[in-house]
Amino acid sequence: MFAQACKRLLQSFLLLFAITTIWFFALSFAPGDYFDEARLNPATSPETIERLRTAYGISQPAPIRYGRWLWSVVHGDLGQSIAYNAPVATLLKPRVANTLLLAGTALALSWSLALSLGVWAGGRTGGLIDGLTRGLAGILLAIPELTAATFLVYWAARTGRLPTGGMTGGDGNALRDIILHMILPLAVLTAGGFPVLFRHVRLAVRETIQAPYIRTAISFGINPARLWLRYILPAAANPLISLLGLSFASLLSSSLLVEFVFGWPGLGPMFLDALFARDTYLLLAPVMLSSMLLLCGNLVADLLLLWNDPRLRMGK
Amino acid sequence: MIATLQHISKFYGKNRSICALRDVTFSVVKGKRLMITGASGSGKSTLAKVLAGWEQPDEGVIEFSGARPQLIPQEPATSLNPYWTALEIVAEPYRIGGMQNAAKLAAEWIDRVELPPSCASKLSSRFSGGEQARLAIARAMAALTIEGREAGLLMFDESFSALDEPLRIRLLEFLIRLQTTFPVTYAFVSHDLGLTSGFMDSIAVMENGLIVEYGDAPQMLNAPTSQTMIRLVAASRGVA
Repeated sequence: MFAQACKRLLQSFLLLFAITTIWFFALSFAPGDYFDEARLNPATSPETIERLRTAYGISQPAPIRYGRWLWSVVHGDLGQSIAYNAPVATLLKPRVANTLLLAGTALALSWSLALSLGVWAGGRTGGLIDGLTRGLAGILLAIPELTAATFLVYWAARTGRLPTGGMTGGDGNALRDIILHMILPLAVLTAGGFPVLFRHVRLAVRETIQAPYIRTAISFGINPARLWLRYILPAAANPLISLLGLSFASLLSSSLLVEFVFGWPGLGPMFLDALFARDTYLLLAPVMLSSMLLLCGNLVADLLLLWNDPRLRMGK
Repeated sequence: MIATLQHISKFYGKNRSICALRDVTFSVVKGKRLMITGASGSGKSTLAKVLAGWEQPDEGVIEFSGARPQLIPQEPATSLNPYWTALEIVAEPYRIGGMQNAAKLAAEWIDRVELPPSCASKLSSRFSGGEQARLAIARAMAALTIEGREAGLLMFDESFSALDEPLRIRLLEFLIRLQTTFPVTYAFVSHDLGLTSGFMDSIAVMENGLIVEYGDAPQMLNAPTSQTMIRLVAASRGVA
């Protein structure tokens, strides 16, 4: 098991390297750079722009810039943002924290709802609860996230019941403020994440319950607690564990648009700005973090699968 | 009588549109070998599932003496928890029954079905088809003999159809040997009379959820009366 984990870790590092390489060169192949807009300004001389380009190191060829960036990343420095003229790490820290707070809470909420309702509905397919929850999930699935977000912003602006942007109102009560600002984006993200997870959980439980070995166990007169804990849940968990790994991957990216609409000071608004400004290093860091989350999520999922499924543990 | 069905009906589909069993009243004679046959969709599998408690009948009463009848399905592997070892699977009926020496009793059954002792710690999903069938038999027998009960009804729903013929014959011979030490009753569900019918004491023929013919096996094979049985006998003799 240890050897398998090591192998996965090594693969993850190689994949991370590949992802950042592709991103870096894709960005560098795009025509122009950060200073293109300054060039349009007649008050800025071409010499000044050249000096700035040299100062920020973007006049050098892409492979050299990439080598330097990689070297500094390995040493814990994520580089310098051109637009903000500040270290990328300093810029990212509070924004990553805000994004993780929002997306992490939404993820936890979606999973708790999906697991409890999915197990409940999956255990009683065809019943009233099953019908109601399936209907709800279907409706939620059909509403695009952006539509729901826009509608809620409109509602909040009209009624004034909840804030429509920012995170802290600055009246001193920070926790209350954060909660108030989080309600709407959290609702949109949870409503977006829940139905997909719910359908997977329900199906996994339903299919497991129909397996002949579960029918056999029921015919022995097994008590429900043992049936669920020893038979149904471990078997239904397998496909869901892989899904959990993928959910982790979406922690930084799932909320980008919603953050933008609700003015949540997370990665979303900054990422879009950086993309338009071609602020290469500021773009690369979130991409790298996101890939790392994907790899970590998959690694955690693999380890959980090994723990849950003796078929993998005991080898061939 | 090892099991008795009284006025059993079972419906499937929306608004009970499909009737799998129609008011079936039938008894399984203790210690014998019964074959339940009929065309596909005649209700024979449903009958076995209802007896084993895998499905609940919509109407009627089932009575059985001793343990709940056990069913080994078409693919025995699906009735074995793929996450568990052979020993855990066979010990489970004893554990659910609250017996202390579950592992020891389970190991005895693994031995009796002629699986090597080294199988005990293997996952059931690593077994071959024949081994999985034996493991399913061991588990069913454990469930049938729990708390020192007299062995009850063991049903096979085309359980060996995926195995080759020599292996099928070996398993049938094994089951007959087993019946001499444990007075277990067998019911074989099959749509073709094939080689199994030669080992049977009696045959029940099903059609549209009803038992249309029942009687002594050799007699029915020689002089079938129902249309279904006539067709099945003809098919088994290679006459189309």
